[in-house]
Amino acid sequence: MFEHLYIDRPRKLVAFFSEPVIFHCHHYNLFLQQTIEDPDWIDGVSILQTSAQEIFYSLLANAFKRLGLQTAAERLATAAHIFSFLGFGRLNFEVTEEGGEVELTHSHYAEGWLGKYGEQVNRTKPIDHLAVGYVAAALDATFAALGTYVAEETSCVAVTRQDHCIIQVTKAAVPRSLTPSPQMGKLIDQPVPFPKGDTSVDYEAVNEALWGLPLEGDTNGQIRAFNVLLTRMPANYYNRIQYRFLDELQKVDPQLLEVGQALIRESGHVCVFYTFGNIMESLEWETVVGPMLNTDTDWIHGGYAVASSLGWGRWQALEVVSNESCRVAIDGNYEANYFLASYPPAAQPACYFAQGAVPAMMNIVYNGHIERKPVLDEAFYNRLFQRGGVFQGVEVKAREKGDPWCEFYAQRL
Amino acid sequence: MPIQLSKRRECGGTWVVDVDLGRSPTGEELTTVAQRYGGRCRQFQQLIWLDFPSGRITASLRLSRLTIRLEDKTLEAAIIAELQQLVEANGPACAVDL
Repeated sequence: MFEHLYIDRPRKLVAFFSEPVIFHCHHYNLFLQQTIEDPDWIDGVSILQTSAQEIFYSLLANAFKRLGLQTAAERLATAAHIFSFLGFGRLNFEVTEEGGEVELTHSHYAEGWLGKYGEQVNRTKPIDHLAVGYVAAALDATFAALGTYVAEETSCVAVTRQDHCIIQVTKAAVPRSLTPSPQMGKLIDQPVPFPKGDTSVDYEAVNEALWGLPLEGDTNGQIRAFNVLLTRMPANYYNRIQYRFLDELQKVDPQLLEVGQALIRESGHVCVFYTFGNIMESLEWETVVGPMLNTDTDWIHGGYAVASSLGWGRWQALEVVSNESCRVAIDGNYEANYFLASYPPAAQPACYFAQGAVPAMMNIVYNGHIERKPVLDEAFYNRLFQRGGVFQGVEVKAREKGDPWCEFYAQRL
Repeated sequence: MPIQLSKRRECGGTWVVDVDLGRSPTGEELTTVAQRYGGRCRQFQQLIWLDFPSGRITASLRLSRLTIRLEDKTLEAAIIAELQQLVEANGPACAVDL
């Protein structure tokens, strides 16, 4: 499948069958999903499943077309292959045009949840909302059109603790009108020539080293690298669930919007704490980035050099003041690309994930002292962020509201 | 000198073994280990992956540390023994920088 990944080097984006794809780990995936799933006053599960169906339909329909796949068997085999390649686990389709049953093993969400919470909590509801949407999308793209099928997880490893999940798929009584992905979204025309920060970190060298790694699902359909369980997720799945979540909250009560935005920011914080914390403790980091690290501020630059290798767009620290503040530009952020293709220009900055991620990078380096390799668990996270002196961030320029690029400033409270 | 082993529970719940060889391995040494146990050795600049049907060993030509993520514990034990022998047989890879 690697031959179908396209790296847009100037924009630092990665496309897979015309969908932007980005790396995130299971900590972020689970936190964001739980954020959307938890509130009783909206149908979070439907947001998650429907968004997965919409975005993966676009990806799979493009894949089937580009690969010239005609038969149902070829298409379903490819859908299963892509699911594993992206790190979500393994699917075994036992279906006809009328629907059927799909077995899911080594589910990223279920096994990730069990690894993170399984010893403390018993789960009572299925967790594989992405896989449910994916299965419906696979049948839509194989046999019919977007919105033709509905799926439901009837047995989930996170609940049963057995060895596989079951997803049932049938034709919907009435086809649903769903919205396909905006694909690459509104891209920047030309990358802005940002001044090189005061650092020995060579962003482009880090990009090339990491882009050269063939990160794909193993025989279990899982991507284990940088000490974490990764997925190569369509960026628009994250975008759609986060913006749709905010839209739904606003419909219920406009006052809930700020709470929702804060929760998405927190997901960015969680992502950087766990994903980058683990990356910075990994052998891959020590090998690729380690030789470029001369000062503490280089750790921040190193983090953004890696971030810009994950398909997130052109992330670059413009200025880092040791232990005090940082200014970070993102030219062609994946959130802004989607937002501009899906909504009118924003009245307020709307890259909520990045708003949380930028201060988190300062927190993990200057409060977490990641160079000492602490154990990155929930107790450490709570200790770190529930005390004073944490870094907070603000989006000071926003491409989604008309600025030429997005820019973020983080400083200690 | 014995190699140093430390078990670590990684994100996602998997137990991995970090091995400190006391010196960085050479590409040749790692290729030999991979071939002996039916694996595949791939090099990405200074980073090395040894891929086996039951998982991966991540190593670096810069570092003395490597990380073993293998589901097959018999294979894991055999490779650790092999690494121990390798270090004992060859000693420090480079004692003096000229």
